[in-house]
Amino acid sequence: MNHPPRVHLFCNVGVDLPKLSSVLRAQHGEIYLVALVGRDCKPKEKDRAAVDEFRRLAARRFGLLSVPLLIWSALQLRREGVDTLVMLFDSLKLRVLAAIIHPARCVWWRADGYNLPLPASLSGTLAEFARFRLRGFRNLVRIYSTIRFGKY
Amino acid sequence: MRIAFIDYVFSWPPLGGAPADLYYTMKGLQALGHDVHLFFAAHDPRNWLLSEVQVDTLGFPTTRLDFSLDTFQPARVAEDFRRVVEPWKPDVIFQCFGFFIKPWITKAFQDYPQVCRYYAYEPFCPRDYRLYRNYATCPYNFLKTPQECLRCTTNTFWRVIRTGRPTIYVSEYEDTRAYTPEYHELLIETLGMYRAIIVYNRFTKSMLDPYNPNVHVIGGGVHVSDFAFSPMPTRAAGEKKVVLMSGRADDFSKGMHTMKAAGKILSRERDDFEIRVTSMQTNLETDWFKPIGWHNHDAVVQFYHESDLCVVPSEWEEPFGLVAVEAMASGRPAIVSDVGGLQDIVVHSETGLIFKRGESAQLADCVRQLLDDPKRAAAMGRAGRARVEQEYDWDTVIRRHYPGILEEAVR
Repeated sequence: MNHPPRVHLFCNVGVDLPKLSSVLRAQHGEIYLVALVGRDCKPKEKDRAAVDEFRRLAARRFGLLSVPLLIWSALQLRREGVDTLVMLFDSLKLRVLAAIIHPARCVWWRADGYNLPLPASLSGTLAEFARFRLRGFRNLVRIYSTIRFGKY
Repeated sequence: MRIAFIDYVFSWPPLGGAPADLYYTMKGLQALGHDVHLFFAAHDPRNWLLSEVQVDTLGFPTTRLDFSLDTFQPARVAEDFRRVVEPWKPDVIFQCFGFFIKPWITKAFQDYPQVCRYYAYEPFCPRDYRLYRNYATCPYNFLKTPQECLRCTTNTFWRVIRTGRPTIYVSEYEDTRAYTPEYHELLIETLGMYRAIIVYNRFTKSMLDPYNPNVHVIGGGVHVSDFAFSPMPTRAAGEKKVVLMSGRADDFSKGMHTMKAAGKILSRERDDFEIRVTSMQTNLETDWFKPIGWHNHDAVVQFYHESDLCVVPSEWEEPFGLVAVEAMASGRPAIVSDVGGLQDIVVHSETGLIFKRGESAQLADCVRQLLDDPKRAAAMGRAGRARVEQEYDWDTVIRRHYPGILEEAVR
């Protein structure tokens, strides 16, 4: 028997879940949508109606990776199998958490509307994160030094 | 005349005042017999946030150019626009809304007569083109103090830049090398190239005058038919009068805190009024302060009709101030702060009152005057409506200002 793909979405209270849900369903067709929220998140009725399931992770806003319960929650998700994991933020903590969950596909839905695929493995995540951070650091140095020493 | 409009962030249905302004300008010029064509840069169709531009509902010809984050580079964008605009053989090019890329494309079309419209403070404030910093009008100006403005911009975006994968606006900042002295020179050079620059208010004009002798102040407008005039509501004994603050009230620069402070002053001396604000912050509700949330156009028109007067207490240099025009078109007196375009729209003591920005006591005094004198308020409402019909109806705005500017541009 074929199940609809399981799409998991890391989100917090500020996210417009009905809109995200409608776009995700439009893009993926029939899916089983799970919103991963922090322990103290109180979803509104319209948010509840927008997804198929609300899953609470152990730590408040995913902030404490060291909490064993959170790792346990992530490992539980890994055992269940996640087809697509959608992230809305690009923090190292979330990325490591995503790597522990190890979905088949991991995508970053950016605030400007662009989707970027992300590596799902831990080593790939760390390597990719470091590569872009280095590029970003170089850009920052170039910009600040141009502003400081440029002849305007 | 064949007029090619070039826009770099076009949206339809409109996501702000700029695309709406462009639409009405093009429709107006088309109605005057000009041949108009919109060439616009479109976001990647896979973008999940922005809706597809609904070109079918525009009613004039368009050409869409697709770009992604990687391809929205100055050389590429210039080349692509030239490829589609040149065969159309325009008499004049109208540069519309855009951020850092606009000077690059202006330079690429330097052999054409060009007219430029600024919708906010794009050439002065690379951070967010609002010229609003630390809760006040920013004293700096990119044309005069580039290093200060670039420091401010980079300090605002450094967290995004350091990720190595910046968002659209920051990516454009990096890709167009807007932080370099060469870009600053390019911007000043292209400002001088325009045959005419159109801005919303005198404040903007005064800042551009040193760089171009042909800066014109042309306000936006409304279709008067969309805002039916309604006489002042008749209140039963004990019924509260309504003070309306419409627009994006939750944006701090719109001055809702000043409105609330003024209401607090008035609430100590009277209880015959309530302030309705188009805010989502329901936790702010009191007996006399009612956040009513966001509503569609028809509902907003109804709110104007139910109100006794409207307040626009903006604290940033509001480029135009459409809300004040809408209130006046509906026959309501407008009490506005002395910023940007608002002070041009409202004639003090004739169509409304003007108070000093951020001065809640002054605002309270203005509201008190009109609450206490309904005849004066009604007369101001009628005068406001007449002013909108004469000055701010789109057809009038276009017919009165644009043909002369465009003819001058191609001469």
